[in-house]
Amino acid sequence: MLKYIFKRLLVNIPTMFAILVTVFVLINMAPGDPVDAFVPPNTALTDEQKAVLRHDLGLDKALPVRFVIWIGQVASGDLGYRYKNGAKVLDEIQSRVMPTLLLAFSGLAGGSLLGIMLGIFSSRRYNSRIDHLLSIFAYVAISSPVFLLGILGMYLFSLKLGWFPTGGYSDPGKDNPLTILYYLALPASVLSIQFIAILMRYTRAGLLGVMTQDYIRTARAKGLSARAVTLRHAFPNALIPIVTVIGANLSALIGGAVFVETVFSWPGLGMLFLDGIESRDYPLIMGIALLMAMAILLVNMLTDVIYSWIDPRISLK
Amino acid sequence: MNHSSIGAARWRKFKSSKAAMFGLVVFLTIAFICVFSSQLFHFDSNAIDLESTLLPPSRMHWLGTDQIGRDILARTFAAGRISLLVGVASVALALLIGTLLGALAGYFGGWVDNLIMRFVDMVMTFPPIIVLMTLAAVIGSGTGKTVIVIGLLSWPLVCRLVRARVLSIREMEFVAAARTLGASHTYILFKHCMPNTMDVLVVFSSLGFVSAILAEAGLSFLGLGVQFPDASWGSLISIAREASVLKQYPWIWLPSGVFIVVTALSANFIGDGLRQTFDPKTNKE
Repeated sequence: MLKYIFKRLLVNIPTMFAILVTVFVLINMAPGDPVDAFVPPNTALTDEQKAVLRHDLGLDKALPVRFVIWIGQVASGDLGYRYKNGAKVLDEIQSRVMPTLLLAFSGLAGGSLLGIMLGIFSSRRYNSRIDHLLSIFAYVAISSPVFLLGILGMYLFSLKLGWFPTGGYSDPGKDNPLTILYYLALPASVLSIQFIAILMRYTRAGLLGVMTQDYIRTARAKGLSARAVTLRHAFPNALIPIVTVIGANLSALIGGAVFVETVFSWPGLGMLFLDGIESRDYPLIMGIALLMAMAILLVNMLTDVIYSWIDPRISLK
Repeated sequence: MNHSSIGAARWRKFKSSKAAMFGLVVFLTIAFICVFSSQLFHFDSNAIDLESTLLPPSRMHWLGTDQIGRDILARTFAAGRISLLVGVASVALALLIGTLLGALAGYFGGWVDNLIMRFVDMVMTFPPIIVLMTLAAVIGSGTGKTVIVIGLLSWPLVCRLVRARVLSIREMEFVAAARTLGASHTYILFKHCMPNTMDVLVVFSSLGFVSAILAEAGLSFLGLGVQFPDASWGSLISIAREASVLKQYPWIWLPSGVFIVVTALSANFIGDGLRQTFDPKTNKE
């Protein structure tokens, strides 16, 4: 198993390098002088002053040189400094990781659980009215932009009903669980809606596909209850596509977090990224993109490992 | 080979799906109203009327007015025209780039294939919105640039689909026959491979269109997409980021939200219908 994990790790190195190069090149193609970002809008700098500033920030070196310098720094854990306020990029990212992890993991865990449960539920009531209703819900959910769901949720549950706050975040290190939940509930629910819809559809389809197999008929013939047949015999065999769907949609979930954080003023990486984009803060953009790429490659690897754990035939390949 | 009868059979099959037909009718209706909105409605979408600001829906202004007295109904459909335009144009761009590179990768294989497909893999690793935002920061915002940004995001999927198809067509006997007859690479690519990718491309177009209008809405919502004086559904909804508008004037942002969802929903239905129509596995009748 360890060998398998190690192999997967090696396969991902070229991809990682390609990501580094592309992010770097793309960001450096951007129009606009990053030096301008330091200067208050109404003060005019002379060209000499700008040149000094450019030199201080290392922006006057050739692209490949800057790339090599940057790689070396990244390897030693130094992601550089923000243009905007001179703060360390790594520090900025670290202070925003926790809120995003909290949001994404609650969305992932709650969404997976609810999506799979609804999928099992609707497959057992195949073609009933409730099955059709759930299908319509899934279609509407995947046709809605995440930010619209966020705005509607806020309008309904915060402004009209007053059940939840319109935004803000409670630090898990300081506050009690109820306060955390009070702030987390609405953003996490909004984030997980599409995840639930997609997972529900795949679970349902997977189960319906498995249900026609001979071993299901055998299990039924043995006199097992419908519940035992679904949960013990059908579900484990439908699990592979479900894990694939969870893995594949995780990056969409992280992307959705950008919108959810913006709508609910949730101080996570998504908001920081938007801030970086708006102020063309290259080191920050590169740092976050890099982190996300690593996280997603890691998740892909994890998915592969989970496959071989669910289905031992896979690791032999 | 009789093309018209294949077309007729496919249309019969598409027609038999109620959801797909429903989607088609709804979609065409919305598209028609959006395209001809300036002729259909009494109010101009940009006409400012400071005497009647922030009016709730009434007989005069069916969906009310905004902060500077513009008619929301007219604005919503004018915005729809931009949203649909960006959707169609960026899908066309994605088809162009993706088909070209996908055909090259699939047909020639080797290092060309490797180079293109590793790049595709890499782009598809990132969450789409992260790629979109980064591209928007590099390329810029505005209606035309948003088309380019979304097109650049979406082509890798087309590339993958076309490559896979060309890869299988390349090995078929009629291609080997054409090659022995002395047909050139270009001839084989355009006369034999491309026509056989049509079904994949048609299905992509409808589902890619959904992703494209949702992507445009997302970018515009974040302020990185369509810019003033143009407005799209996404930019109309972004007005609701202001708490007072969100709470007190739902008629400003709600119609655009409803239209995005209904349009995406109908295009999704059409896409699923097309997928079933072109899927040989369901061709039993």
